[in-house]
Amino acid sequence: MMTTLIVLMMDFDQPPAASVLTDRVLATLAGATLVIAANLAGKRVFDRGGS
Amino acid sequence: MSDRRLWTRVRTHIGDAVRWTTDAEIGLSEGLIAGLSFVGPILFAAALGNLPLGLIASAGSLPIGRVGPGRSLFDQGRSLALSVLPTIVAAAIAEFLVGGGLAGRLLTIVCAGVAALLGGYDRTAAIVTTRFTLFLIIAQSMSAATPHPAAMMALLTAGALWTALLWLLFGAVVRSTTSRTPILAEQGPAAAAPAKLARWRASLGRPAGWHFTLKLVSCLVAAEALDQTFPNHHLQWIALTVVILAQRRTNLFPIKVTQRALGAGAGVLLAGLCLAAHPSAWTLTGCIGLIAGTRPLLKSRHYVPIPR
Repeated sequence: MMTTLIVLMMDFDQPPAASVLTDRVLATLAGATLVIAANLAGKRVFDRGGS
Repeated sequence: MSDRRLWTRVRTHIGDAVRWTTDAEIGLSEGLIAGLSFVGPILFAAALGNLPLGLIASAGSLPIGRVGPGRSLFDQGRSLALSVLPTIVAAAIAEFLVGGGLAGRLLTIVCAGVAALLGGYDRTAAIVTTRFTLFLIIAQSMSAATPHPAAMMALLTAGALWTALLWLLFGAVVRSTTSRTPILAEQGPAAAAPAKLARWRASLGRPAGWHFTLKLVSCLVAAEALDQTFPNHHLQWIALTVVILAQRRTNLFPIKVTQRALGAGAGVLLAGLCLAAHPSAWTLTGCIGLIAGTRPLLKSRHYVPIPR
């Protein structure tokens, strides 16, 4: 819900173009991928370190 | 792992992520306060003939979720301070860094890293620093789009204070009309500050104490690199998504990440489609109020809250 609010407030007076919408969806996917990749890397590194 | 077992695990995971619970009790009045906290500044600014200023001010309400009445005014005031202060500090830092170009954006990542490190002190510090980082990135995006960053900071602060005032009034009414204030979450005895400090300092001597900080900073650096590599695209959203999704826990695929990823993706899509329909300003204001008003209910019954 917070994401919806942020988008509505930031683009209130200028509806986003389709390309902007696509970029944001892709950016959301990219952000999620980065976090999962970091989780995976962190798990390997820190588990190996025995912490 | 066989394909069948993997598919079963994926289905179970998705099922858990979208599960709806009816355990949490959220009153209509609380939804009303949450909605009014966003709509109030918009309506006030519209009455003065400057709707955009109201939108900026209402963004000051974003990091302040539902703040229950607590057991006393002091109790509630403390909870509110932990929401309002990171908002104001983040807005001030964003205003300071906005003209700094790439250096300013890298300093933002440094601030996020320091906040992540300090957040390891205890659960409250983790909540406060996450709010700070989230709002720092939101405020920086907004500052970049406004010719008057200082005025923006004042408006965000005003919005945050307006929201705090509404919740204080709500708390006062609830405490005066009920004999016993419900305590939402019983907490065990809190550890003393010196013990927490010693534990936190000791954690910094171990790799695990730096895990979340390194994870967050590396993701934000990668997000910034992608944004710089593709300047013609709108990839600032990656940093925001990273802050929303990153967790201190080391689970590979925690339910919360799936919930947040689904929520963030659906939120971007829903809002974008809504705006693409070119609704009137009043319809959009109503939508913002409705979404803000139902946020406490949806967060408590389904979507996990930002603090962790």
